[in-house]
Amino acid sequence: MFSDNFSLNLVELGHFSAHLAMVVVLVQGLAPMLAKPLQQPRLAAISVNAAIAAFVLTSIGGLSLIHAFVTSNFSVMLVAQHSNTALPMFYKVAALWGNHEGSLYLWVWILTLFTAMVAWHGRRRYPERLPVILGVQGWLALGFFGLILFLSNPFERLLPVPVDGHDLNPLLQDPGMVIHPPMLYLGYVGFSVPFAFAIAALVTQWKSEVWIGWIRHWALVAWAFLTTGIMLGGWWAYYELGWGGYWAWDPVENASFMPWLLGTALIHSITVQDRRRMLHSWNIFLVITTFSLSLLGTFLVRSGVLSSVHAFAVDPGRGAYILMFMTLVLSVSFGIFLTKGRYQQAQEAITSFLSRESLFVWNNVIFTVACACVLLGTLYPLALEALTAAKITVGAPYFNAVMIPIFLVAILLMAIGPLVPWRKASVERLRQRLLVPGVLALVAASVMWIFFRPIHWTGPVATGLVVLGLGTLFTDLWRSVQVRRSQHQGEGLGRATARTVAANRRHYGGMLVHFGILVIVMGLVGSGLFRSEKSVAMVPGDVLEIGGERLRFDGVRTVQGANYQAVQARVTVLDGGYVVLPERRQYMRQEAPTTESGIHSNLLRDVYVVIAEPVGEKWAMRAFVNPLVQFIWLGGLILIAGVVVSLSDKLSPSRRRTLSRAEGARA
Amino acid sequence: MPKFSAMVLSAVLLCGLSAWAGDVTEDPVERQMLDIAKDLRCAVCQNEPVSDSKSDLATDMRAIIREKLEAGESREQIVAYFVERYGNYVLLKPPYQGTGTVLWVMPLLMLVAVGGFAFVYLRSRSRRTLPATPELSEEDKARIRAAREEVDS
Amino acid sequence: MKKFLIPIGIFVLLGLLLWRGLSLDPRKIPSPLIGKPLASFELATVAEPDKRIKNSDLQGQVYLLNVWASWCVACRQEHPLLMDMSREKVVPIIGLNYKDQRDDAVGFLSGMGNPYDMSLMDPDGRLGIELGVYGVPETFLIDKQGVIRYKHIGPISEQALQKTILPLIREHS
Repeated sequence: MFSDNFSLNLVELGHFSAHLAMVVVLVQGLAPMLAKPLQQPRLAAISVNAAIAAFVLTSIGGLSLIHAFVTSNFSVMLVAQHSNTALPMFYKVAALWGNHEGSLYLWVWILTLFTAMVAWHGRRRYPERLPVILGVQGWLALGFFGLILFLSNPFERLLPVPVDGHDLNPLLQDPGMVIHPPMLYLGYVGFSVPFAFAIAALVTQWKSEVWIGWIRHWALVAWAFLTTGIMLGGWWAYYELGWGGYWAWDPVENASFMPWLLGTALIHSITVQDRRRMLHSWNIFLVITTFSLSLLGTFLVRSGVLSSVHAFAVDPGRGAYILMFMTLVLSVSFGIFLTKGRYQQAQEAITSFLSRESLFVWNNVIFTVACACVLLGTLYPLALEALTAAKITVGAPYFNAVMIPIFLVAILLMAIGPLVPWRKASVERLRQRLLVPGVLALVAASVMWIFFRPIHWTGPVATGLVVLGLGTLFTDLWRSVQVRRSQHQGEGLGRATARTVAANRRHYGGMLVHFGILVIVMGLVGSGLFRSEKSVAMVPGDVLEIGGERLRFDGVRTVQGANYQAVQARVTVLDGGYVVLPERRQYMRQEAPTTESGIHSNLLRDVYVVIAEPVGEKWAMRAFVNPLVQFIWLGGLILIAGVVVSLSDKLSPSRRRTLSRAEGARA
Repeated sequence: MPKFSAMVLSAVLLCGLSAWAGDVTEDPVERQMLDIAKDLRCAVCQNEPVSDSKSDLATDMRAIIREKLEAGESREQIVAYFVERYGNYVLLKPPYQGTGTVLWVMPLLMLVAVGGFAFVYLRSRSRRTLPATPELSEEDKARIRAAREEVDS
Repeated sequence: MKKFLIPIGIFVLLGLLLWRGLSLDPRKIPSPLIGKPLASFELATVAEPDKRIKNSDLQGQVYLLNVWASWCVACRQEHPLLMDMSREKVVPIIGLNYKDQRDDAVGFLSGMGNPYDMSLMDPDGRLGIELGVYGVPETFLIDKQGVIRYKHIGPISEQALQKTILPLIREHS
């Protein structure tokens, strides 16, 4: 009884902390604004302490909710609706963000975490601007606390207390789903940091040489998390949804993809500002827009305006709140931007259209258009319905048709961009450098065209571009290593390579990210164009030949899970004798059965088997052989490693500037 | 040695088993059916194609596609059958004419607009003459060398 | 800074659009069959399994075709309204018993009352797909020429009945 009381009181404590946190973030937002009119400059510094306090308080609230889930405290409505006693512990914790209220709480929790991190990071590095940055984040947090505490309160109690709870959506009971939302939110919310920096820069007329490095740092962090979140989402869809694919262009997937696309444009164009001191206002515009798209994503997912497999319960009231909040944030930030955005002018000119900075501008064109196309495809059905009451669907075939050509152009830019020097490229030298990779690319494309005909045109083109990209990447590294070895006689190849990379971690980190992207593209081409798929009915003993593999169906048995019952099929991959065990699960308290695919992976291909319903004596089965799918996840890991390498570059912005100017003078 | 014989035994067993078990082949009509179903949206589901959905309606729709294929109807006829009853809503790929036009034209227009804007920007930037970067003094150069060495080491 | 007004203008339009979008129901799909003749069919009824009713048998009158099933929860919600209509003899109501078992259907009608002049049996849901049905209940208004004039998705509410369905019935009869 004591423990029950303790548990109850803990939730009340958490609830109280959350309310207190809301007051604290209000202080955090107000303090820097009031400091000047009240002529109390020291007042602004309160926001630093407030940021830390808000994080601590929000954490108490969050931990009390997790405690309620773990102890199955069904007096909390959220726990009663989304968890039950039979749920495995792992998923009890994750159940916090497997629903509307809890996921919003996670959102604001991560926001206060980022704010606290900025407060810590900036206390020495940029103390005089810190209060304003924290102030901006305080107002954002206030908006979300308002939504959480007044419209979707996760601390809501339920009386009388039910004996057991409902269940977490079985589709969400997957390891990928446990970490996918936090990663995605770390990305979404992470872009609030560059946003706060940009607003602070505009308001305080902060010199861009100072803030550009910090914005780059935080934007890369957010971008890396967003990428991880999206990759994990694909991973989850692949392993859990049982249709053999990983990306469906679902509106909610698009909602996370839009900030990613614009974020990608941002991390490139920031470099132009850093190295060539131009595009200041464009960068600020990008930062604001990227964060706006994060908010838009939250709105689309949480309001139910778009139907999607990922959407939680439809609730127009909350939708209206988020929309109003988003409109407010957008109008204030764009208002500030329009009135103050011109405080800093470009200080250098474009020397040539064939230069790194010019290619970066084209990169921005491609990614902006890509983002706009996703936005168009996602919202056009809504627009059409609002205006004419007609209804259409914009599905995967549309996005593939529109986006793949855009991405191919992006890969082309990616392949040649790093070869082109800043300021002005010599056409002759560029041709020299592109010759070998270019020939290799043409050979690769023709080989694919000849041996795999008939094939969709994207196959050879993408293959050629990947080879071109790999070629330029490695010849570029090779050349630098050679230069180093000529300067440092007696250095071994490995050591010289390591030193070259270490000396310019920022550049080579970026190149590693590009390499990761190329690996992902290989996976996409392999699994997108060379997938074999068969849908058959089998009796035990039957053998199915698919994509060069022979699969034998051995039979089915029933298995009892912690909170489900399943029919498990045993399928042997005859070449190698691997066994896969696809399941058809019936969770307690859920009507529709779910499928658990049986997958055997190696680097070159995945065998992917899904068991459907029995047809008389036979069992309906869907089998896929997906070539190179593992390349996608592998490429994702390489990409993250690249961001880490790039971020480990510890040069201060001013020192870097001196260096870059020196390079310019030498050129 | 026993390990080896076990391997041989299991290999023989496997061969034997696969020898008498029937090789199943996919029904070609099933494949055609799924190819059509892949581009149709299941109306009750949320953004799922008819080919992947477990819902009742999707199952019925698959059965109808099958029947129509067996009756010799073409892909276009079958798709048109569903569009007549459910509207363009069932098409995962929006039509090129009518309400879908905007979707196919806009990406190109946006590319031209944003690209044109970038072109104008780059040209205006390249025409602008800015004060030349001042020559580096000896002192500057020394600082750069120092910084470089620090980085390289 | 003027050039940035264009994208910002787009965001404003977006906001208005989303605001409008909040009040739309993503689950309702307009039917392209309005103004088209009712598909032809030949079906048994719940009461008389051996009889076959053709669409031509129903022509010459304005009637409601209500798609229902004993397993459908929302149908129970609109059922009293249908009972009232049938008692007041506003208009004949023809049921379309969708993907159901005869025994269950008979049980449903004897328990809840039968508002239907007759209920056609569509056990495999084929007529349902012909009519573009994707959820139950759905209600069609058919005119004297056998042309579909209106389709209501979901349970009929008092408001929908008074504001839309009754005026349309008056207009067409």
